Amino acid sequence: MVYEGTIHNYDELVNTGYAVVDFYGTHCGPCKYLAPFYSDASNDYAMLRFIKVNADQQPELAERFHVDAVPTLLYYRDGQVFFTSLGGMDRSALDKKIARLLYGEE
Amino acid sequence: MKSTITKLYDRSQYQPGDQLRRWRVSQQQIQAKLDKLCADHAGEMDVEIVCAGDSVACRGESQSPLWNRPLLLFYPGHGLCDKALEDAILGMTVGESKTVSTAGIQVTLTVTRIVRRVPSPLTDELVRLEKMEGVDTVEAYKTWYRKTTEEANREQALHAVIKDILRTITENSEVSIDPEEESAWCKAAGDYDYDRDVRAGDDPTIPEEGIEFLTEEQARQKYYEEMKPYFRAYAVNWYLLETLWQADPEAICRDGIREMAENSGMTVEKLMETTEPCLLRELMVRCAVQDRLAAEAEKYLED
Repeated sequence: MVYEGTIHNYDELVNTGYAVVDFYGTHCGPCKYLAPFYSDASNDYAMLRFIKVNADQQPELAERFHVDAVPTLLYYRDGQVFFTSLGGMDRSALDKKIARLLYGEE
Repeated sequence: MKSTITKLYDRSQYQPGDQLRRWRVSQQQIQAKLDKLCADHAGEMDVEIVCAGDSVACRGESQSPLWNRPLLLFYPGHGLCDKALEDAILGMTVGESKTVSTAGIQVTLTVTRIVRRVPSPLTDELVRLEKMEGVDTVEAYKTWYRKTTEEANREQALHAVIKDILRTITENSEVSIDPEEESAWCKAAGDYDYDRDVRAGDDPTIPEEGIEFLTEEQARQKYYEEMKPYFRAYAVNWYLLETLWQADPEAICRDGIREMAENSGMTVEKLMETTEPCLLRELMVRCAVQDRLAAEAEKYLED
């Protein structure tokens, strides 16, 4: 399941455990490419929160995290951004990023 | 145009590959879509023993800060971490501890929770959760999926067959290329692409292999060479318009460019300033040929 992040629920969604946030745009090709892989990963990995934020509709969030291009992904550990990535990717590349979030060094 | 075809490929010999002709959705694809629907609305249940595909929360204790954490998540079967770790976790129960070694580091894992995703049963109620207008039963969902996917597939298959027909004609016809005409076209098109790439931040002088940078002249020359197949295809398309359909490619270019300018709210002169005219003309000719081949390509699609 992918949560829709807004200015009202964002902090609560990312503040504990592990979370991934996908800042996307409505008319963005790479975002559309990533979307089914992101959705499948959210179905496979329970206890890891998958969130998506429409950067066009949530400009305050996009500005707060300096999101200049989409898709931008933020990877969280306990409320802190562990690292970010930019651009579309397939499932294999997404899994590598998730592995880094779960087992990578700070 | 001076470049022309001296011997045209006999199109009656053309046969597209089976893969190109297909556009119908298979039963397996429909089932996969239904399985995805059930997975998207999966429930979770806590279980006692770890199996492949489960999500496992562990407490980690180790000398290494990498593994000394109150919450480590594992997904055995997905290959996200060391296989030895995944294999060690399989079969563990909630509350159980095990010391394992990974990359020379000892870590004691204690399982705190095991979650198994349970796909939702496929029911009309599940379909209604998708809130799709007019789609409120499983049968309606299957019909919707088949219709929308096949529409898109058919359009894609048609374009693929058209491209394949043109590729086959271009590769198998004898084409007489006028060297000066080719050189002038490739230079104009190549310079346009080169300058566009530089404006976008690329450096075409960086070699693909080795460490010796190219000069600008050498880099541009590479672009010109890369344009040659496009010029050949352009010459073939020009010939086809004139010969197969008795059309006037110059008029097609003129009218197409005027229409594009109008649609963009520009004058023709302004439009020509924003792009490379030779590439625009090539586009017009190519689109005109593709439109005319559409009816022929339709015949090759699967029933």
